[in-house]
Amino acid sequence: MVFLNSLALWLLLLFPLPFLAHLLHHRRRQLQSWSAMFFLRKIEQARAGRMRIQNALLLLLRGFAILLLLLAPSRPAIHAQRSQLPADTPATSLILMDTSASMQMQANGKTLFESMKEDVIEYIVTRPAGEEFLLMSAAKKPISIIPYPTHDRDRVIREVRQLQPGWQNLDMPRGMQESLFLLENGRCGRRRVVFFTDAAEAGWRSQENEPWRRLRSHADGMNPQPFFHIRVTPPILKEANAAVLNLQATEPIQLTGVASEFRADIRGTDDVYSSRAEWWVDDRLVAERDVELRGELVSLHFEHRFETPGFHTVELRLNDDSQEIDNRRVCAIHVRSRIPLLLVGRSLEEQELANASGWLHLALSDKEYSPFDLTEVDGAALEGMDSGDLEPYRSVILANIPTLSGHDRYLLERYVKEGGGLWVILHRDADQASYAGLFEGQAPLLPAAFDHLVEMKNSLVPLTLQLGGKSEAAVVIRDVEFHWLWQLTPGLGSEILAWTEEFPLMVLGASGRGACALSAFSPELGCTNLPITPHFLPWVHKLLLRLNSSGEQSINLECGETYRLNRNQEEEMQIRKPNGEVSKLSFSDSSLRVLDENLLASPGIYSVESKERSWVLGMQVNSAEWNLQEVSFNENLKFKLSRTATEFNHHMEMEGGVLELWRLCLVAALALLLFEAWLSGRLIS
Amino acid sequence: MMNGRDLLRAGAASNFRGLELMARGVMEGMARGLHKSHFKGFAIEFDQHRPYVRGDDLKHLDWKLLARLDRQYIKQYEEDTSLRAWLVLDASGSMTFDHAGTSKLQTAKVLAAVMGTVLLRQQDSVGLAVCDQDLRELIAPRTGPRHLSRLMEAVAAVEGQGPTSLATALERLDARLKKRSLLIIFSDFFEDLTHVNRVLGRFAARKHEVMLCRILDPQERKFDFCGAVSFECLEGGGKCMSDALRVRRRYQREFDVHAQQLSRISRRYGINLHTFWTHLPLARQAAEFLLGRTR
Repeated sequence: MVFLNSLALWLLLLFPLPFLAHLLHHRRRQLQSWSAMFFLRKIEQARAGRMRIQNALLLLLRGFAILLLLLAPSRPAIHAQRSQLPADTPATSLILMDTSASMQMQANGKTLFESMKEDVIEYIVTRPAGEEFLLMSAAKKPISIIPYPTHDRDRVIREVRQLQPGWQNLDMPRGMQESLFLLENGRCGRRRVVFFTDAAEAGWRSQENEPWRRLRSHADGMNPQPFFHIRVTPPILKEANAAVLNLQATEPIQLTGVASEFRADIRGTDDVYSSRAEWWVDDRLVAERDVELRGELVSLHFEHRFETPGFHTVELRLNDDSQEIDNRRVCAIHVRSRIPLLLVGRSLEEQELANASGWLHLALSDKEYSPFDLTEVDGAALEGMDSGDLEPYRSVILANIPTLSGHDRYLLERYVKEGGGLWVILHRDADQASYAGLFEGQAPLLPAAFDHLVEMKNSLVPLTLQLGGKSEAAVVIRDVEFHWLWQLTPGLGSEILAWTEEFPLMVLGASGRGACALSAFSPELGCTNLPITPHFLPWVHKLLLRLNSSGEQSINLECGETYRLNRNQEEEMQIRKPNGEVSKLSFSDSSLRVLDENLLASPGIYSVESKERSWVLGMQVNSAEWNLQEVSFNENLKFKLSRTATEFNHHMEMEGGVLELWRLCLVAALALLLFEAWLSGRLIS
Repeated sequence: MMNGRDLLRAGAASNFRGLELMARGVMEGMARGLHKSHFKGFAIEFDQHRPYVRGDDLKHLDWKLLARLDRQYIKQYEEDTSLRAWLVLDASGSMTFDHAGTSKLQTAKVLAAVMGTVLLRQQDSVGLAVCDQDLRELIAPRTGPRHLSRLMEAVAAVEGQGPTSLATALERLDARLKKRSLLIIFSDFFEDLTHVNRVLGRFAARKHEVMLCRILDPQERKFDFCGAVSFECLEGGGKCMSDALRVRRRYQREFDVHAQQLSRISRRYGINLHTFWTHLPLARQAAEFLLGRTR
């Protein structure tokens, strides 16, 4: 038994009212002094048992009739097969239209979206009378176009014709999930979601189980259960075509005077196809080459040395072919001249290489080789600083500071939460109690806790480093000698950057807008032989670059993503869109500092400018939207899906639904009331 | 509360000055009165002849018969005697029922006052027995105007309460009756008539004359209630929930059966049964009753 209008089940709260009225009436009955009780007692004694049964029967009949009357508005129904349903049982059809970027692809002289619109209109027109429609568009974020069921087909067709595809990718599970919510508004005994798409892989997340499991349990919990039909309008490419799937810098930070490397992935159609690839930097052609495509993925690499700091754009353009929209891709980058660092713990009186700060000074202070501007202060200097003093530095290194005061902790926490990078190097004298406060709360500053010192007894162990991001393989350095190590316990969400066979040696974690790295050892000869290996210098550089980049949000976003601006309260800003249009940004209180998805809807370079500064944002179409590969219906899709119109109609024939019982309820209630009236009349007579 | 004079006024007793209440059977009275006595005497109404015996008063000798038959016969005449009457007043709780504006007890009291007055006026001796489930008060029969006022005050002071057992009360009264008497019983007779039947049979066997004055309220017959009603017993027997509409017909049937049963009992023992309704004019009902009992 299911209830199509479950809200009306609240009416059942009225069910006890007749019984309460009966009881109250019983209590309030007329009191009469009476003389001839002699007769009355005689009658009532004879009637008592029978009357009790009759009264109970009448009450039961009335109660049941009222229950049926109250149930009728909630539209009770039972599940039924197609064969058990009356032929004219109408259906609620939710039309879900894919408006993702891939629908802009062209096939046979028109876009996929136009072909799909024709399919949708044909579907609407051929539905039997009585069917009601809902309309949704699905991209990254589904949008309800006709949220309440309508029988007005002309209106639905009008809305379909007005729809245009966007540049966002398709989040298919989300679209289907939202469609189920909307389908709850349906009033018919059969409900279906008809999803018109090109079935491009983007956003299907077909390899993830969770969204599909959630979707399935949602659909299973619905009454009546919806049927899913997916109608695929596949891209048919008869001519040769190449698509730039992505373009990105290989390093997280780009510096002036240092060669920055970029990588782009290009896919072509199955035929052998040659295209000319042009690299444009800041709208100037800087390199070009021919690329031969054989259907597989081809990666192109490009190096460029930026001379000036600030925002720059890199663009890859392919020759015009049958699909123009996938031939260009842009990337915004922020180039810095040097990175200011603060090294805390340097003691100038000591021998230069006697401690960690000496070795770090050696690694970072060479202006020719190092991109860092190093400032060194002793351990006590933090006491006299405030947050303004730390602001000029991109990262702070705490080299073997044994204890931290409350002021130090407050200062460092605030610095990291505002976007700074922090590297905490532990010496064997480190006071656990003074550091413990930094590993507490929901967003701790330290990515790991340290509890006890492990003596290594001069043993040689392999050290694994992973400092270049997840895309690069870890580097294993053999025969690293450690004399002691702190045992680290990484926290939730933290990333291990370096480890021996047994212990995590370096852990990185985000805290607020910044990041913090914690190393379990000190880079000095008293602890390890690492400083004298050739790995030491690149390791320190990579770590510091990683630390600096992790605190920043990306300026290359997918279409439809939001971007948070670092904006002062009164700062007036304007945005320049890829088509050259300039508009003033107005911020409401709720969207202060946020550029929303509607503003950044299409691909290209956006520049946000104020009197004092400017940003450049690169908006990209999700690479999977251009992959030109049809998705295969995998195990996650357990619904009744169909790929072709023929199968679609076949499945429609098998569609079950629910048989509504509200009419039966009303008739039964009426019959019960009539029977009750007859019975009570008979009892009176 | 009404006093004795009010009762007489309510019953319009002065209107009944010319009416008499006659016993239908023979009575045993101390004084000469209106009622037939089983003692033979020498009075107005001839009864029979008997042979003369020595010592008889010669003035009663039937000279005409002596001349014609040459035998001596003495003429005997029926002797009239005064009546010993008991007014039996049921003062149980059920008699206090009042739906028509006058309670049944009030009606009974007025009727008792009227009949007592009529009887005392015709030189009969009248007593009073007030009963509920037992004899509550007893005033021995006497004559005279002083007794009338005492009787009236006693009747006026009667209050209805408690349960009914008229049969028990009448049995007690029966034990006190030495001579033939007229018993006028004012009651609704709402009780099991088996016992009442037995007592009335005993009265009949002992040659007492009984008159049953049944006092009823019209609502007691009509049972004109609707819906669920909680009936509270006036005799203190608790409450009884009932759907009045549903039980009305059965109630009326039971009521009628009871009335017929009482009627049958009264016919069996030659008892005069008269029903008085509280909603009808009392003086008229009393007049009708008395007219039926005059000589």
